Amino acid sequence: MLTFIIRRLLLSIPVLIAATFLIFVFVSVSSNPLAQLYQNPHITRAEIKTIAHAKGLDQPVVERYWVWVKEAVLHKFGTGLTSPLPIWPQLTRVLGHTLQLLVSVLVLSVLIGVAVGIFSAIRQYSIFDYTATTLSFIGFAMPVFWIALILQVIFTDIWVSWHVRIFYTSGLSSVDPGHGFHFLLDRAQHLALPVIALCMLSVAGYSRYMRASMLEVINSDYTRTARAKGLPEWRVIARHVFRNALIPLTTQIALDFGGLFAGAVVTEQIFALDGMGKFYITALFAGDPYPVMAWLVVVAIMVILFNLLADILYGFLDPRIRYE
Amino acid sequence: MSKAASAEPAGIGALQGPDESAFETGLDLVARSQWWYARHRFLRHRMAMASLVVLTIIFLAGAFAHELAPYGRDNLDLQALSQPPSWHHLFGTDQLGRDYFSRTLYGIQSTEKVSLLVAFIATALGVVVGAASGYYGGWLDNILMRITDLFLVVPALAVLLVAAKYLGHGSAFRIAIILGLLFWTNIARIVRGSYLSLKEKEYVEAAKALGSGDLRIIFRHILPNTIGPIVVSATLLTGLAILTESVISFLGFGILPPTPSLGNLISDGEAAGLSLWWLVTLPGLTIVLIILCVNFVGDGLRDALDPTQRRVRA
Amino acid sequence: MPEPILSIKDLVVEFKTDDGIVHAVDGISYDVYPGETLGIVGESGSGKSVSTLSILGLIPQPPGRVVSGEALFKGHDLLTLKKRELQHFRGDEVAMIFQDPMTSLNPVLKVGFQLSEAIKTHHPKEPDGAVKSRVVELLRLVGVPHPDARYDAYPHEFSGGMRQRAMIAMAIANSPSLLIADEPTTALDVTIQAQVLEVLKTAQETTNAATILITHDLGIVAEMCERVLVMYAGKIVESGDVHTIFRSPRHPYTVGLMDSLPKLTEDEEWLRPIPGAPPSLINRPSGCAFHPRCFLSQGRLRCREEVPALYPVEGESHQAACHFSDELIGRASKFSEPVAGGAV
Repeated sequence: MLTFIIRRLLLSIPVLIAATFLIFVFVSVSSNPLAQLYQNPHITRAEIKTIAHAKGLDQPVVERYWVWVKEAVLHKFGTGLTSPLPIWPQLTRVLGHTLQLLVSVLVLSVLIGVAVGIFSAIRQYSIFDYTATTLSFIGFAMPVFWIALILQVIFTDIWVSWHVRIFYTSGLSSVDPGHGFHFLLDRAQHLALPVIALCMLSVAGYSRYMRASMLEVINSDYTRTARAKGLPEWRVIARHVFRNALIPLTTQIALDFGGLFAGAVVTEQIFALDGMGKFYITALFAGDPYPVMAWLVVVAIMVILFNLLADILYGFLDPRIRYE
Repeated sequence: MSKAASAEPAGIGALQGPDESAFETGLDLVARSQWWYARHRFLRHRMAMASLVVLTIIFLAGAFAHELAPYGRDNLDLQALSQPPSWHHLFGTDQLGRDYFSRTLYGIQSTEKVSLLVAFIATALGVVVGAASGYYGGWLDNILMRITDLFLVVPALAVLLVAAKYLGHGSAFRIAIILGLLFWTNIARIVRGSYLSLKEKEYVEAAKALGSGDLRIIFRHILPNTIGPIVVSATLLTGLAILTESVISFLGFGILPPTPSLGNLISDGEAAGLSLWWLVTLPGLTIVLIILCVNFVGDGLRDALDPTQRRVRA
Repeated sequence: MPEPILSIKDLVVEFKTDDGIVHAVDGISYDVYPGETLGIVGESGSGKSVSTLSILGLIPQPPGRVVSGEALFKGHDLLTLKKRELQHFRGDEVAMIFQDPMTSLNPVLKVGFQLSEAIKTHHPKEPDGAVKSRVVELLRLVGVPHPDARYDAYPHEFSGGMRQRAMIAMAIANSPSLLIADEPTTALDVTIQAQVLEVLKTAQETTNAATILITHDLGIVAEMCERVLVMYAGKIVESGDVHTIFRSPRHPYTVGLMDSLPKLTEDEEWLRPIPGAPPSLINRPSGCAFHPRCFLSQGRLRCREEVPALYPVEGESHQAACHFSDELIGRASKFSEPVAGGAV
């Protein structure tokens, strides 16, 4: 098992290098990152020259990449082009906030999705099943940013009309959130709407997937054998169906992880949350490639780690896939 | 379906040869082609049929936006600023007095242009790469699969935004190319899988024995047998393209105002303030309707063309 | 005449599909006596599996439906029992062995556990240690090498033949009085088939269970069964003891089945299959379901219009469902001479 993990981690390094190199080349070749600096009247030519030299911008692309790698590894990504602030502390701060959002979404959507899927499968063709199916189809069709906006509209309306603040429609925390429990409650109220917006799509997906998986297992030969042995139906479901149906879902959840960050990009813009998404968009708009690259590296590493975790979990659930 | 026997039976008489006439005895089977079954299955799928109708209407509405829009694309009506929906303005007006229904029609047009182009590019590229990868295998397959793997590590949206920023966006064509270059990997994988399994089939061996060249085998023999999954993927990919285009336009990295796109209509609406709720809600509902229909059609196509896929009826 | 342990009366099972209602089992009745081995022979779609699956309530009920009939087992009508009551019988008094050992065992649970489960469900108070040793004993009985080590193995670590042995062990774990084996060797290699049939025989001897052996292979019937039912299109077309049926079949379908087998001791230039294809169970032919393919019928009106009933043709025990079965009297079947060292 340990060798498996190490081997996987080692194999992902070339992937990481390849991905970052490609994007770096792409960004460098298709634009001049200094262009915006030239337009800034507050910075002198000489200063621009210094910055350019520090980042290695006067050298060919491959050298530049190497400069960037050194700076990334040794100086924790250094600083951006358009601001003197170091990238790493900003990144860790926003990452923390985004993780609060994403972990909540992941946990909630898996729990709800799996529950709905199981129930739909057990009570196939019932009203519950049809309702769940219809809602899933609708959920698939609604863009996340639109759901987010609608929620904002609704809850702003509630606040304006009735002066009742159920959930906050922007920001991470109120001006004075307090400590301990009050802080948590305040944070939860601020994160509630983004979490709901992101959950809709995931719940729709996981419930459909779980339902299909459950139905396939429920109608399988080995489930029939379990019934033929005289097991009560609840035990058939609990012991034979549930775990088997969960296995393919694990792969799906792993594949979706990258998409969660994409969702964060959108919702954080709309709800003005100080997270990874907003960080990324801001850097892109500013035309500063260095925070963008740093962001991509961090996200890529997280995706790789998460996939590794999912594979290990898969090995636990399915004894046919046990790693040497 | 077999019918009752005719009055002409045969007998298994003496042990001479295989009794051919026995096979003609009134066991009439009507020959039906695969396409007949596929059409039949699709037509049974009511939601898919209804969605196809709705999609056609929407598509035509967008294509003929210029003729159908009650007001122009950018006409300002200073008498009717920020009006909620009414009979005069079905989708209301924005703070500049532009009729949102007309703009939505043009938005549908933009979305159409982009998504159909994306579907074409992604499918063409995906089929070519997937077929080559699956059929030839070896180092070609390895390289191509590693490339598609790269796309998995980083969120697609992030890459898209970088591409849009640095390759330039704004025109439907540019955006379509960028999206197409990102979406082909999915189809490539599916096609590769098909080719990997189908190239082992006996009819491929037979074709080779008859002297058919590789290209002929790839396109004339194997491709028709894998059309089903390709069509289904292409359809669902179109839906994804519509969704993605609206997201990046919303974020400002897609089609730029004043050219309307369903995405930037919503972002304009957001900027105008949440009290003008119709500016955000109605173009959004249009997106939802379109994607819902595309998904239903894709579902119906999957039922019709890919019946071997063990799916449970929705 | 001892009392039958299982008595099926007028069983009708149908399935609802998009294309119409499939009449899978169209009114069959038969008895199974204690300790005997009854074979049920037929093509795919003849209804042989469905009839036994419905006895234990293992037909998925939304598309499937037991329309009418009785299945009396030791005085209880299994078809009218509630789920919970039926579960008492399943795996305990009535056990089933399925066709495909690859998919019939849960891949994520250990084999030993699955066997123990069979015992524990019906004897919940038994201590774990006793159950485990019983399972090891059973595995040894069916010929699984190193049964104590194999207890902790997963199904994918077993070969096909061994998996089927484990299935047989699971079926006899609670000493059932009735064993139903649904094509137990169809999915296995021929050489393994013989071994598994041996194991099945051992299992029968150990438990003295009555056995229903479902197969399409007449060779297996000849080797294992005392009585046999021939099914076609959801009905029983002939029934009787094995020797009589092989020596003098009295239904043209049975004759066709025999004739289509190659005979090892003679030179045959051509094989003689039964012409045509099995009928659609949604749109059945009128009258006798076999008449479109029947050499005896010659298009006679009675065959096309009247459904033949199963009636005795030679003593009480040999029955056939053909209007003109008398015309088959005296017709030498392929297997009427005893084959040296052979089955019949």
